Amino acid sequence: MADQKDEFIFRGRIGWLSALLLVFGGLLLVRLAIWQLVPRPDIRAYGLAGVSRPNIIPAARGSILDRNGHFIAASTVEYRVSVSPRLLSADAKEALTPELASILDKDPDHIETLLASSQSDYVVLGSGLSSEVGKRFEQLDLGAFNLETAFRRIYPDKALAASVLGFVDHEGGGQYGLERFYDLELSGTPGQWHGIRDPWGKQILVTLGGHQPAQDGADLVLTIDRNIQHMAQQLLYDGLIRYRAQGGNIIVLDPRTGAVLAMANVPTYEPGRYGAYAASEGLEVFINTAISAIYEPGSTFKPMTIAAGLEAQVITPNSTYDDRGEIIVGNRRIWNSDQAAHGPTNMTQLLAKSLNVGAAHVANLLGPTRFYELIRRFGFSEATGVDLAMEERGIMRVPGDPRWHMSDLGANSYGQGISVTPLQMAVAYATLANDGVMMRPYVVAEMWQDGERVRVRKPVRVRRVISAETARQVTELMVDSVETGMTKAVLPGYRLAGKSGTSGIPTLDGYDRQDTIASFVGYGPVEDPRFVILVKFDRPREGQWGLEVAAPEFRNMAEMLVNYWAIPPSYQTAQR
Amino acid sequence: MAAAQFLAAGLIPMQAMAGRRPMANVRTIWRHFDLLHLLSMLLLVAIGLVMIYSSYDTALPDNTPFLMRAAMRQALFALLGFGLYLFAAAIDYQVLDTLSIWLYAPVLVLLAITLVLGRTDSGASRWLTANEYFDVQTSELAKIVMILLLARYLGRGREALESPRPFLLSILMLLPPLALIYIQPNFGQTAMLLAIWLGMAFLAGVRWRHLLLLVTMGLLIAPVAWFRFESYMRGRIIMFLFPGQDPSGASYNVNQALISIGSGGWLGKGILRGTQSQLHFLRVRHTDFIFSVLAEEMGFLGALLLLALYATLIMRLVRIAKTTPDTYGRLVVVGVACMLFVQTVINVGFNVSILPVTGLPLPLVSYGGSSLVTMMLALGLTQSVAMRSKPIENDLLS
Repeated sequence: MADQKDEFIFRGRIGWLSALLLVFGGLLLVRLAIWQLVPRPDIRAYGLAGVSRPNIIPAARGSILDRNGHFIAASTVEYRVSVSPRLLSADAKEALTPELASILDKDPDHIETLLASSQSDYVVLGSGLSSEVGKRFEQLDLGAFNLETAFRRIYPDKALAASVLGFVDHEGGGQYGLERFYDLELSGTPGQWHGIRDPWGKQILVTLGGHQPAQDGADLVLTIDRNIQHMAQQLLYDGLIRYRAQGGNIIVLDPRTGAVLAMANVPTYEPGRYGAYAASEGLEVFINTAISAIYEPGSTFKPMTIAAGLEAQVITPNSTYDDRGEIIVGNRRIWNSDQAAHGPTNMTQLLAKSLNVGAAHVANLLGPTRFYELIRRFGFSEATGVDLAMEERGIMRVPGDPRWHMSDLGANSYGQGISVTPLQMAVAYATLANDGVMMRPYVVAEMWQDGERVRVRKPVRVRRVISAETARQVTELMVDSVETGMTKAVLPGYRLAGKSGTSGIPTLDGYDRQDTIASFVGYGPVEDPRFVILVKFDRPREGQWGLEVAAPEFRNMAEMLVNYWAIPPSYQTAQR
Repeated sequence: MAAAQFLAAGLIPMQAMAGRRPMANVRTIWRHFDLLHLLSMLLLVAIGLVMIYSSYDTALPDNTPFLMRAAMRQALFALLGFGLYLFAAAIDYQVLDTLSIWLYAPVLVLLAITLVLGRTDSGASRWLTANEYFDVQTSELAKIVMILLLARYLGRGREALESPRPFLLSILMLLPPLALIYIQPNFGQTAMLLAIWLGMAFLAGVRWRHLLLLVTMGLLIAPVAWFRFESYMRGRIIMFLFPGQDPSGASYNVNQALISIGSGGWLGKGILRGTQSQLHFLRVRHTDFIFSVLAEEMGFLGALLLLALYATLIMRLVRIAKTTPDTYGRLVVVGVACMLFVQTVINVGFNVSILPVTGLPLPLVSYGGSSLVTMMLALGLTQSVAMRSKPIENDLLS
């Protein structure tokens, strides 16, 4: 038993130990209080925000539909699967190889090679995979696999309206055409969510910073009619072969609204395979030649000159002039293309025979000031304002320009020495068809967002160019000239206005001696014009005249349209 | 209880009984059962179960077998521990005075087997595997036997301690298990054993001059010991002293623990809602760093409650030690108190980064069957001492 001395020592030492207990206990408490009770925003922040990072939720790119609701461009989800071989044991690799080979439809040896790189963290097993394949990988649920989703642009009709659409590059950016012009609207806004990674790298959704869903891109409904576009492209392809031409355009407009019903160019490409086309054809294949390439319109320009003359009242529909086969404008002699003198000639004959001397005669009567003022009102040398990327303005020299010469007046009167885009030409004819009121051409009619129509494009009136009376007078002159002098453009039963044109191709040393541009622009039915058609072939080798190359295709296109829309004939064919 | 008495009577040689107080009346001793002692222990175990569930079981798949769920296992161990606690309280601790000698050799053998056959985890052989569900951390068992043995050899009274012999004998007794645990390697348990021994020697009344001699020797050995340390031990100490210089990233968990604790605030983020623990930023959550989980999810007040429970338990032990006239019983209580106190301070200390990290569990709270069961058994022994501390009063009252 403990004696009293023992007890004394024990009590003393227990005191020591109790003191030690208090000291250590106090130390722990103080330390704890400092960490827990002194506000430390850095710690709290590091506990969450410091390891959180935004995760992008990709927005689906909007679709593009034709005026009838057919998809002509759409986005689908595709998967890219990668693996970190470092995270897989040798046994797991061996076990997985046959399964991976069957899912990916690849050679097992190939899979084995891919998995063998044991140090690598990122080996792509496959990309552009369908959602079915992606889902099978999701079911594998192995930490070593990484599944990335991406949107892929598909164009179901391949080359249909390619140069109008443009394409989406591999980074998801719109290039050329609508994809470029409406890139912002189509792209939408990617969403994001903040996650934190646990020590195994798995993402955990936290409310911090919020979850912001992606705003998908808007869908575009076009004015383009897939069927008309298809007809136009078919005609162009056929014409290209038949006339051995190097290129061409067909544009179909609704003159009443400016809506583009078809805009076909050749050569063209498939937007879904833009890479292959860029490699084999060069980047020029992506250019929409209907708006971005300029040419000299030639005689298709003459109706504008006549319209200007009528509007300024220097001529009337019944005016005549004495055609001597040549005329001097600004010290430069101008001949008819047939080198012949036609004597007393009225305006219908002028157009039907496409007399340069006559056009220059009217321009002379107008004088440069009135001529250029009126011609400019038709929209030449200014952009039409169509909603497509990279539109050209064309070139027209006017008095005051040091490079302008009085002789240009004569050349310009029949479409030489002036450069236009095919669309400008079509719009100028649409103005004549629309009683002298110019409408702005457009391609996108509606914009839809999440199943709701958010924007409807209303036709935009640009200006009145000439009086309605003048427009109707020119139209009648053209109808008569078509029926008397341009029979290849005649569609029995329908009264169509139009004019052919054959123009040289300016090069650095004068005009190309061999090649021409053959075109025909017209509209109808003239009682209530429903369409304007521009047909143009570049450098045709089987025939070189607009009248023999382009006029028949104009007629074919017009025939298709009246059938497609079931437009009743203007008169009974039998009566004529 | 008759069985216990029979057991005691049968085992204890008559000479061991000589000079000691007579056996207490069985019916009366339970009146001196320290209820606060039991309550604070059970509360700590309960808190432990909740925190283990929160930090470990929540992440388990639904089809995890019952016996593989940490909180379930811990609850089973707690039941076993509670049974042993009551058993130890019921038997007269005096029985163990002699019995402990017979336990010394088996413990050494167990420690040796552990070294050779033990389950190796992170380069250390610390566990002896029984089957796929159980393995035993033998060093926990060693601690309790050493407490009993040291109490026997140091509890001889003032006269005996005038000579350094009992003190040196206790060192000799200590060295074999100390060495066996040290080379596992297990720095934490080695330090624990040393601390228990030092505390018991001090309270036994070992002369100051002997203690000073020992401290001087210790200081001389220290530089040599430093280079004999396993590299992981040196690394942890360097990491603790110079936290900035940690190229290996070993301070990861220390930082995560501080973030956990620091983000807890007054009331914590709520049980099952601590981002640090639930999202597994903090590692070894349910064992060594369970205090950080508690501090994050239950805040400063929760941590305060936990420390208050430890303080209560230790104060009860100190009270028992003070009121026990029997030197042997007193030293057993002191040894258990030292074990509880030092282990708590070390564990909480490295959780809050005022001590280097040593793989010591938080007593009664951390997940771990061996630790829980031995700690409850040890506390049962102290309860046994408490119940028999006032035999004369008992007899008078009865």
